[in-house]
Amino acid sequence: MKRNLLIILVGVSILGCSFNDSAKNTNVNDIKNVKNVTIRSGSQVTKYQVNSHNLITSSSYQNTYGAVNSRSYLYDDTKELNTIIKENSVTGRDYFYITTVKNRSNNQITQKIKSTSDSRGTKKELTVNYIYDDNGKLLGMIQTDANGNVIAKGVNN
Amino acid sequence: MKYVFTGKIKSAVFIVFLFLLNISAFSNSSLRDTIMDFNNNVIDFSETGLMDNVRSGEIVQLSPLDLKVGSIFIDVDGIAKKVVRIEEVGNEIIIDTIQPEIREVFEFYRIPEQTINLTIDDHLQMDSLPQGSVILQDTRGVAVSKTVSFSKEVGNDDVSVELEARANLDITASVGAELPYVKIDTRGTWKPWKWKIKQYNGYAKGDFTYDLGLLGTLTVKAEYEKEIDIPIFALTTGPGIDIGVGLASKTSIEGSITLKNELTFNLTGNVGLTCGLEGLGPFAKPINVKTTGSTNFQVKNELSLKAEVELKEKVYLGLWVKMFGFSIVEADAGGGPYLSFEAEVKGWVEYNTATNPKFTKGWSASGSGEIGVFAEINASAFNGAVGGEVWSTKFPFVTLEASTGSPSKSILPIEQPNLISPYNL
Repeated sequence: MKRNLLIILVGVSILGCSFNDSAKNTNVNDIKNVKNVTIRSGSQVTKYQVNSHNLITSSSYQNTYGAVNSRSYLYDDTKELNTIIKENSVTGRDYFYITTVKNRSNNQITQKIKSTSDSRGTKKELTVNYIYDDNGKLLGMIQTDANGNVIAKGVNN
Repeated sequence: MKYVFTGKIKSAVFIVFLFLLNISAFSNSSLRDTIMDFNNNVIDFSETGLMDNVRSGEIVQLSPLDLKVGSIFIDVDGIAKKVVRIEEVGNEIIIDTIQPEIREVFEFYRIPEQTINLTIDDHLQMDSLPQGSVILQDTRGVAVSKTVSFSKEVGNDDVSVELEARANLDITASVGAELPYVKIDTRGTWKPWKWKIKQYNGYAKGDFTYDLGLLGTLTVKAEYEKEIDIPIFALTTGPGIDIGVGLASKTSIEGSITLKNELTFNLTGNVGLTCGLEGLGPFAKPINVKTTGSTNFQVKNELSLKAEVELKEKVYLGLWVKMFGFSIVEADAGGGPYLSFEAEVKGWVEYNTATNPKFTKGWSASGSGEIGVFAEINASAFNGAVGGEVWSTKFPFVTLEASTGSPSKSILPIEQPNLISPYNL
């Protein structure tokens, strides 16, 4: 009887550890424990998978011409997105890399450089600068490309 | 590099920075010096945009799980969307969206006036090409351009349309756009009642010059009413601000038909729309809408068909200036043959606006009905809120009256239409 109780206790303990491990999953690139999100816009549909760290791990949609565009997302240990692998059912695979620059003294992100090449092999680089006030609060960000095109987002003033 | 600013202007510095950018016109294959300033609440899942978010002075990463009813976001397909409904079914979240108002997405945008040459070399959307397409060097004339050779088929046992063709396409787009904005001149005083507030209206402009040549075979087999739109391929400047042109074929069938059509189609001309834009609330209102269009075209059809049918077969160019899915200016220009009869036809018909006589033929037919060509140009702005038909016409070639033997044909007089038709709303 004692022996049976001991076996049950050990079993419960192992199961408990296993559940605990699952709850504290530290793999930011976990693609097993994901939620599926489907976004519908008329007949158009995009699909995402989001893991327990609230990070997008994959997305896909079909364009007007029938080509399926899939993406896989990879993050570094600090949950910063660093690679997007883009797969197009017609043109094949492309990589999109993001390099993050941080201020060593306060660990604030100051710049991100995104580099990619399109299906013709033309390389493109986008630079995002992060703008802070002197209290260290982020005001916004400005993305520029080689042609002087700007995309901005931040506090509306 | 870290930017640090002091004083009251610090939170507005990057907006001012946008206005200080050099704005000039270029003729190029890529857009230059455009400004897209998103509202801070817009979430962006597209890697070519800004995927980070600012909340209470901190960077925040958001996922689709953070979307709420009313949230506005740029989807991974580059289209701006607004959440209207969220439903959870098991492990799946289903989010229904609509298109938001333009002001809900942008605090400001500016596309300085510039001209873009869209070419197969630089702008062909590779994944739009039908499988097995070949890009050929075309050395006709002085200019060296590219031709796309393709085959596209849609349909099933009841209705099928197949287009096998070669197309060369040359597009010049002259574009520009700006949202209305307000500028406050403090006139050197701290007293707000002495400040001068000036409102600047926005505008939108899209002017396209096109030259399309298409040589191909269209085969239609149908048994019932159907409209089949076949997108063939597109030239585009890419995601975000998307200036593009798509070649497409639209076939409307009512009845039964077996048609083989050797088609020569040349379309050259211009279509454009300009309008002002006023209002600072969420609903910016287009004003003073003006559309223009002119076209020359040649259609030669070598037909072999048996039909009890009404058929309209349109080869057309769809032209657009879009921003994250918002249609700023859209237009289409095209045409083709139309048939409305119970008949059998074998032979060819041709209409060419550049020759005299414009209409020539060599065919035999039996049955009754009418055959001709049509052409139309449409232009609209702000997702179709304004605009419409710029010009359209039908050129009936022949009215068939006899049902047996040699048909009595009455060739109707064809008048040259007014091809330039400014259209004011």
